[in-house]
Amino acid sequence: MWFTEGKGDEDIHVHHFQRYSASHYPEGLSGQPQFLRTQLPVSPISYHGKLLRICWCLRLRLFIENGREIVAQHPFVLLPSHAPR
Amino acid sequence: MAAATLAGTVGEAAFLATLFLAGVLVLALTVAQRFIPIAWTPLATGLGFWLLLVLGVVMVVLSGTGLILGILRIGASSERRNAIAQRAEELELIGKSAAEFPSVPQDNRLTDSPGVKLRYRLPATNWAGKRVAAAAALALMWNAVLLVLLVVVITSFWSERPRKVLLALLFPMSGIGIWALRHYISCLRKTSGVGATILEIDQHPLRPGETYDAYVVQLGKMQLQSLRVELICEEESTFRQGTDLRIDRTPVISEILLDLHNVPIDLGRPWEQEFRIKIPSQAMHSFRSPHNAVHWKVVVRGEADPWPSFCQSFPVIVQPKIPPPKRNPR
Repeated sequence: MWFTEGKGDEDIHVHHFQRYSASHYPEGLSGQPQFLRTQLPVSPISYHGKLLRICWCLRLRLFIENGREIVAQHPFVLLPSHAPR
Repeated sequence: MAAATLAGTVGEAAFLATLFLAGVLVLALTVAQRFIPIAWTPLATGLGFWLLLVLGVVMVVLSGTGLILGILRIGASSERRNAIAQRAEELELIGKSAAEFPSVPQDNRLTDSPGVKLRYRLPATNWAGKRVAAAAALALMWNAVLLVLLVVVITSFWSERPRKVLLALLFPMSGIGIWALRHYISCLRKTSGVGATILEIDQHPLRPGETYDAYVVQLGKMQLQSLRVELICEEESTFRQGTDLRIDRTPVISEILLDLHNVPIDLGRPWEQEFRIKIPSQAMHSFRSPHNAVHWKVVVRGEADPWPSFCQSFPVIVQPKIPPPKRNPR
C-alpha cells in the first residue's frame, strides 16, 4: 500500500490485500515466516517533496483474540523502473 | 489585434450594452404603463402592450446573447471557438488515471487537438474573458436596476406623488452606473488587445529524462516588454482548517525555457518561437489522489504596454518512464 504524508489530508491506496483467518493456523502463529507475492505498479513512485510525501509500505495488522490489534509497518521505496538500483 | 478590429469589438460591445439597457427601459416603461393607473399621455407610443413587451424582451435577449458570445470569443482562436460551439467549455482538462499508470492522470483531453506545426496543440486553462464577463455583469445589472428605478421615479412624478428621496438616490447610483460601464469598456478594450497564446508540442505524454520540441505563438498587436516561457512542476495539497477547505500549491521545479525582452508582435505576423522542453530525469511524474497532486505545466507570461500582463498555463502530463522491452536472447 501507499499513503501520503505532508500538508494535505492523508490519502491511502491498498495495492494488495490478503487476509489470513484463524482457521488457516489452527495451532496459532509459531514464528514461521509467511511469504507474500505481488507485482508492484509503476506508479506512484516513492516521493519526498515540499508539501507531499508518498510512502510505500507493507502493513501487517494482527487481530488478537481479546480484541486488541497490533500494527506493524515496514516501509520500502518504489523507484521508477528505469532508475539505477 | 488591429486598431480597426479593436474598435469594432469595443463598438459592438457598446452597441449591444446600449441595446440591452434600452430593452430594459422599454420593458420597465411598458409594464409600468400597463399596471400603474395614471395618465401616460407624454409617453404614449400608440403601440400595443404586447408589441412593446415583445420588442423589449427581444432587445434584452438578443443583446444579452450577443454580449455573452462576444465575451466567450475573447482570447480564443477560431478552433477554440469552434470547440466552444461544439461542446460547452471543458471543465476538467485532465482526466482520471489509466490502469497502466495508477494515480497518473490521463492525457486524452490534452491531445484531442492537432497542431499546425507540431503534433499536438495544448489547451490553456486560463480564460481571458473572466474579468470582462464580471465587469459586463456588474455594469448591465446595475444599470438595469437603475433604469427600473428611473421608471418608478417618472411614474411617481406623473401621478403627482413624487418620490424625492428615490430621485436623490438616483444621482449617486447613476454615477456608479457610469463608472461600471466605463470600467467594462476599459476591460474589454484591454483584454481584446491581447491575442491568443498557442502552444504546440511534438509528443505527449512526457517522460522524465526526455526532450521534446515545442512551439509557441502569440497573436495580437503589441510591444511586449518581456515574454517568458517556464516549465513548472508544482505540488498541490488540499486540507481542512477548521470548517474551511484550503488548497496550498508550491512549485518544486521551475525551469525557464525562454526569456525574451522587447518582443514586437504584429497583426499580420504573429510572434512565434520554437524551443525544447527537457524533463529532468529524476523528476516526479504527474500524480493525483483525492487530496494531493503533482502537476506539470508550461506557463507563458507576457508583460505588455499598454495592454495588461497576461499569463497562460498549459497543463502537461508526465508519466513514469517505462523500462525498455526485454530482448529474448533466442
